Formats: sequence, C-alpha cells, structure tokens
Amino acid sequence: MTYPFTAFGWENKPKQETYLIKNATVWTNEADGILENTDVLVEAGKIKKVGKDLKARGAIEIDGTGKHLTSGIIDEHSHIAINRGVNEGTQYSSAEVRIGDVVNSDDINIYRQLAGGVTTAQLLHGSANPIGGQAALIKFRWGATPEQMKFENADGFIKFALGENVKQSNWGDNYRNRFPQTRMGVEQVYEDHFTRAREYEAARKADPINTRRDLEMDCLLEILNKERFVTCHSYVQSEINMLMKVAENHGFVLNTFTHILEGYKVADKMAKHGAGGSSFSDWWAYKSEVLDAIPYNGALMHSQGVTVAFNSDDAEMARRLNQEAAKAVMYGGLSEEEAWKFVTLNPAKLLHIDDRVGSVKAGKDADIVLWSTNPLAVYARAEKTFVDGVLYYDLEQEAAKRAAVQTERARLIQKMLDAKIGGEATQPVRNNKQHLYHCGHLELGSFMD
Amino acid sequence: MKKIILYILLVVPFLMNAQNTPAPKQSESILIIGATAHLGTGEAIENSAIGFENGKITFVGTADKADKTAFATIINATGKDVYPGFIAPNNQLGLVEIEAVRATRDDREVGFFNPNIRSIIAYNTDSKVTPTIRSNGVLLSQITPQGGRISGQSSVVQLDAWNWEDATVNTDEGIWMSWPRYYTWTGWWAEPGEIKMNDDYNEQVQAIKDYFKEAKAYANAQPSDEKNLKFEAMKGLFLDGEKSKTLYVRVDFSKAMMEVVNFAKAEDIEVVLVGANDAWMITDFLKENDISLIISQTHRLPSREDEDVDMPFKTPKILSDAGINFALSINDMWQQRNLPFQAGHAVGYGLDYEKAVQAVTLNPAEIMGIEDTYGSLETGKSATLFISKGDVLDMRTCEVEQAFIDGREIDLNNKHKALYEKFKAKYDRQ
Repeated sequence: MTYPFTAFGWENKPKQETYLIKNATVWTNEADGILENTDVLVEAGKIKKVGKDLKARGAIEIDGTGKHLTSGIIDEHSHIAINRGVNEGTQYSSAEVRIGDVVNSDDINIYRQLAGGVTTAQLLHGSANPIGGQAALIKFRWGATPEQMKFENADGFIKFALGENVKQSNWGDNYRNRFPQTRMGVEQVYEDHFTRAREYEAARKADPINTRRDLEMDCLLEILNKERFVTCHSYVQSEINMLMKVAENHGFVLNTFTHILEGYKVADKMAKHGAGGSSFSDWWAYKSEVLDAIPYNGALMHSQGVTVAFNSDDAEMARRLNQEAAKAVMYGGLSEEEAWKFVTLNPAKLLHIDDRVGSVKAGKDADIVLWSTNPLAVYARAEKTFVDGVLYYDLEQEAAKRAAVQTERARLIQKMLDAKIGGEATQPVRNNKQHLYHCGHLELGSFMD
Repeated sequence: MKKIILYILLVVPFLMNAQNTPAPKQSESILIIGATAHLGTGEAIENSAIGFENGKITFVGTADKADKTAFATIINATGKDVYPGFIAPNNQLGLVEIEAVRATRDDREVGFFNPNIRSIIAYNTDSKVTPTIRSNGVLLSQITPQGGRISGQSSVVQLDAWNWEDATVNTDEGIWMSWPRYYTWTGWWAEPGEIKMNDDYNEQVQAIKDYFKEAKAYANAQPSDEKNLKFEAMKGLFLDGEKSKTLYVRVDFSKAMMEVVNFAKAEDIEVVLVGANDAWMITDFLKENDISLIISQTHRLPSREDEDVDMPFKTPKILSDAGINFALSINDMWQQRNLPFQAGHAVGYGLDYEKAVQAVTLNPAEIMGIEDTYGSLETGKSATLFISKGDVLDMRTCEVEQAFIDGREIDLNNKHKALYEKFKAKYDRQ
C-alpha cells in the first residue's frame, strides 16, 4: 500500500519536521528583498525564523550554500487533479457545480509539479460557460486525501468565462444554438443572472418556506454579497471592460481576470477597478481572440499597478512556472525580484492567501523550495519542496524512488507472466490513461502509444 | 500637442516596421568583435571575431587574429554572444496563421497517402507570427505538412523573404509519414474512453510496406505514358547511393521505432525518426543503425505515469552520451520562438552547452541537407547568425540585438514590440 496508490507514492507518509536551511540566498518577497547567506528555520509547519547564523537544536540541517530558497510557486489557473471532466457544458450557467467534489489526489501531475517547485494550485472549472463552477484550492500534500489537500478556510472562488469558448465559436457546426453566440449576448447572461439572484434573495427573505432553494442562485448571491470571488477567463479588451462595468453595477469587484491577454490595453481601468490579472507569459495565435496577445502583457499591466500573476492552465507548463516568470524579465525588463512575485506572492494575493503563503516570512506556512541556482534561470532545478514543513519532494531521494518504481513494475510484470503461464484468463491491453485538461483549447492533451 | 506629435513620430515607425520589409543584400563587409562565438560544431571561441562579406562568412577566429582594416563595419560585441541562426524542424510556420480558424490552416490535406502534397507553395512569407520567431534567433524553419499516413513534403526556408520562391533553401527535401500506433483511444472529448490496442496495426503496417513496394517498382521502371504523381514524388527516396529525399517518420513507441528502422533498412531508404519519445530506451539500437532523430520538445510531460518525472528534460543528454545525432524541436508554430529554451532546459539536466547549441544549429542542418550552407559559423558558409546580449538559451538573459540572414541584417521588429510601444506610450502620457 502506498499513499497515493500509484507510482511515486509513499510507503510511509513523510512528517512535519524541524528543518534548518543554512546559508542560502533567500528570496523573501518582502521589504528585505533577496538576502544572501541567510538561514531559514522551519518548525511545526511554519517558517519560524529568517536570519543569519541561526541555531536550532535537534533540527535537520540542510546546507543551502550556493542554493536559493524561495516560497513555493502558486498556480492560479490549473486543471490537474480533477476527475472526469472540467466543463459542465450543458448550460451556460453552472454555478452550483463544484470542483471540490471531484478532486483527484492520485494525479501524478501533483508529484511532477512538486518537482517543479509548485506547492499550491487553484483547480478551476473549464471555460465552456459564462458562469462556470466553483473552484477548489489545494496544497500539494502528496499522499493525502482530497479533503486533506484542500487549503483550509480559504475564500471561495468561482470561474467565469468570456469570449470564443463560451460563444462556442470553435466547437463545430453543430454548436450554433446555445445562447450566447456573441459577446453581446455574454453581457446579458450576467445581467440576467445577477438580477434574478437579487430577486431570489428577496423572495427567500419574504417567504422562505414557499420559495424553492436554488443552489445556483445561492452561489451567485455569494458573489454579489462579496462572500465568493470571481476569476474570469478573458481575452479582449471589450469584454474585460464589460465585466468590470457589470460588476460595478451590481456592487462587487471582479477579483481576477485570467488569461487576460489584452489586459495591457485596459490596465489602467483594471487598476482603478481593483481587478488582478493572471496571464500566460507568451501564448498567442491559437485563436482569433488572442491575435493581439503580447508577451509584454504582464509587464505593462504591472506598470499600471495591477497585481499580475503568471499561470499555467497546462499540466506541462505548470512544472516550469519559474521559467515563465523569467519571461517577465525578458519581455518588459522587470527586475528579477518583481518577476519572481508573478508566480509566488502575486497569485497568493489574488487568491487571498497571502497572509499564509507567498513569501518567506516568519509566521507564514513553511511552503518553501530549495533551488539549485537562481530560480528564474532555465537551468534551475527544484531540489527540495516543502508544504507545511513536510518534505514532499527531495531530489536526493529521487533515485531511490525511481528504483522502487522499477522494482514494482518488474514485480507486476512477473506476476502477470506467472499468471498467464499458470493458465489464468487474460484480456487485451487496456489503460485508463489520464486526461489532460485545458480551458484555452477545449481539447484533450496528449496520449502515448 | 508637441508631445503628442513626438509620440506619434516614435510609434509610427514601429507600427510601419511591423510590416518587416526583407533586408537588402549585404553591401558592406562586417566584422563582429569580442563576443563569445558558439560555432554550432560543439566548440566555442571566446573573444572572437566573425567576419562576413557578400553574404558569406570569411573569418572565424580570435579577435587578435582578425584584420580589422579589411572590414567596412566593425560591431563591438564585447560581453555578448554570437550564434549561428537557429533552425526549427517540423513545424507549420506560415502554413497555419490562427490554429482554431479553419480558413487559416493549410497544414493538413484530406486523404491518406499524399506524398505529392508540397508545403512550400502554401508557405506564407508574410505571416505575422514569423517576425516574432526571428526576434529570438530562429532564422530558418522546416515547413512541414501533417495528417493522414503520408502527409506530404517538407521544405526548409529562411525567414526573411518576399515570397516562397526566395524563401526556400531546400525544396521538397523530405517526405513525412506517421507510423501506425500500437494503441488508440476511444470515446470523445467530453466522455473520454479507455486506451485499447490497435487491432489493425499489422494491417496498417502491411499497407505501408505494400505502398512502398509499388512506389519502388515505379521508380525503377521505364517511364510510362500514365504518370502516378504520388509515386513520382517518392522517387527521390529510392535512388542508388545518395538520396534526394529523406523519409521522416513520426513515431514514439520503442517497439514501433525499431520496426520503422528495420523497414527503412530493408528498403534502403534514408529515415529520420520524429518525436521518438522512447529513444532513451533503445539508444544502442539507434546508434548501431546510425539513425538521426528530431526529438519532441523538452517541454513535454513524461510518456508514462511511472516514468521519471524529468525524462523529457534529460533525454537530450542521454542521446548525446550515446553518440546519437538529434535535433531539438517544439510543436506549435507560434512556439518556435521558444526553441532556444528547449536547448537551455536540456543544459540544466546535463547536456553540454555547446552540444545544446549544436542540436538547434548544425544537427538540424545536417538532417535537412543544408549543412553546406547553414548551421555553423565556418568560413564559406552563409552569414546567417545573430548577436545576443546575454545567454540566448535562458529566458532570463536572452536578448537578441542583431540578426543576419545570408549577410543581410534583418528587421527584428514585430507586432508584439509594436503593440508594446503603442500602449507604453499611451500610459506614459497619461
């Protein structure tokens, strides 16, 4: 039995320990900036102290000389670790559905992303609907159950979407009838639903017994009452502006625009409204609505005071968000310190968890990563990834883990061969290959032979 | 008012240059002095001098050995890096403009066996994507059709041209085939099913073998009154001695890869494996058979759930250690600007830096048959090269400042820079 019951699972789940990482270059993400030759003490799942020449009896010492210590990467837009579908595409509003009900803690991509220094991800509904489903926020506690992975007491979020996907522009000739088929119609979906949500609220107040409970409306009311926050898949400036106006008309702030590839065109308006931008670093040319997407998007939004994050929306890219952050240096000339925040502190702010994670500061959760070199370098490797002070990924242990995988693989093959020779029934090859979701393409990912 | 005029004067040139007029012929000789020159051969020269005239490289060596008086223009590149123009294999640049929009896609023809389909005549030199690719040092590209069993023919182009005629540097050099898969998947995108064995695998492989037998017979036969255009296109695969066409086969599964190689050997065809995700499993076999590879992007997921999490990152090093000739690649056409970082990432997982440069320069040049002209900084070759302020393989330091194709200094502006300047100016004056 391993936890989870898949390759690279734990026979014995790792525990919280006291660690003293010594003499590393620490990217604090705080006013202290980047500190050289600095120690970080981790105790009881928290960052206990950051400073020079720290001592702690009984701590496991890790030599950080020549290495870099940062807070863990936070992916604001992820579709891994989800069972059997990310899009409730049957209706244009599915606010009642919840990703939290379908979290898959066995997904190997969790482990692969730990190896890339990611510690937290927001798992999102897809972009089939203007009003999508409720998001789940998980820490990568590899080996835990779905419920144990969920980020405790986090604010609730919901996925909205604008543009070609919700208009079904690229779904083929059979999909031309579902309202909305234009950006004009998309606005009316929101106006209609928010208006009816307030009417539902009044009706429930006036007559709770005879007014039927509506889970979808309940969720929309949470948004209007600022108890749930919106992350909205968006591309062109017209629709970005539209949704901010709709939000203002109904008395709430649009928390995060995600993808937001034309955010640079209305960055001043976004800053004024208070919306954040969680963007691809440099994707474009895959749809009509991204033709004006530029890799300088992050830098331009940042220059106008928008809180900018870089996300993945892609199981493969999520392992390399440290490199994606470096693209903010390459395109737009951000300082390395500011660029690093695009994948750490800024997504924490957008997700309202920056009180607990996103920087290396005493009192915050010990979600930290030890890198082989400057984390923004293409050459960097995550060597140790901690979540809540538990060492979930350790490069030093990888060789042993891989050997164990090979041994188990050989054992299973031998068992099958023995069974076959022994005359047991066989079946043709079958494999439930995991499916990789995107919301940007509405297509499945790759399969092996 | 004056400020607005000033901004317009600054911005308009950028917008106009986003049209990227192809550069005129090299008029004056140029010497680049002081940079670290990565030759593409696996070697580098520090404090180098690279001189070129009339489109050809005339000097490669250390700065102290160069005769500065012999060159009209001296570019001081101290502290910078010079590389041969990077070469992007297996992509649909110029064939696809917007992936989701059918009318802009010219990469996939209908039908199963289409060896006569030629990508070069559908190649759009004026794609808005191309200038964004050049700005990161990728100066040549292999324009490749997809789809069906035999997709068609690829050509190699340089990326600063008026039309496909002056773009091409090697026309119809390859025939592309997708080998049948051992496994297929069932269901559809909303309800994905499970993977099952392809029961028709043997039939499909036999169909290929039969097709090639017929094509070979056609190639060896006396010319007849009835031309078979498809077999005409394949003649170049079957020449005695040096072939005029390479067979590129898309295949990933280790067992299938070996079958492809054995098939090609039996038919005496020059074959290159493309994708080759399982190459790390069969390095001895590939080496023995002297097979070159165009490998899938480093930036991909492992092929199997229980595979080493960094297998795609370290595959280049594994292949390099085994002495296998391989070129790096990346998938989507707009992603070609990230080709340098496929190399950079491999360096982080053990591949020697200069070998990584070689995997995006001389190796693809050799595979595509253009190594006499392109792929390395050597005297006599085309002056197709670029200067980067920092290490171009790392996004952290990549900054291409000047680029030359056949000695012509090309315009490195692109739509993205233009939009950046436009909105930067807007915010600056607010």
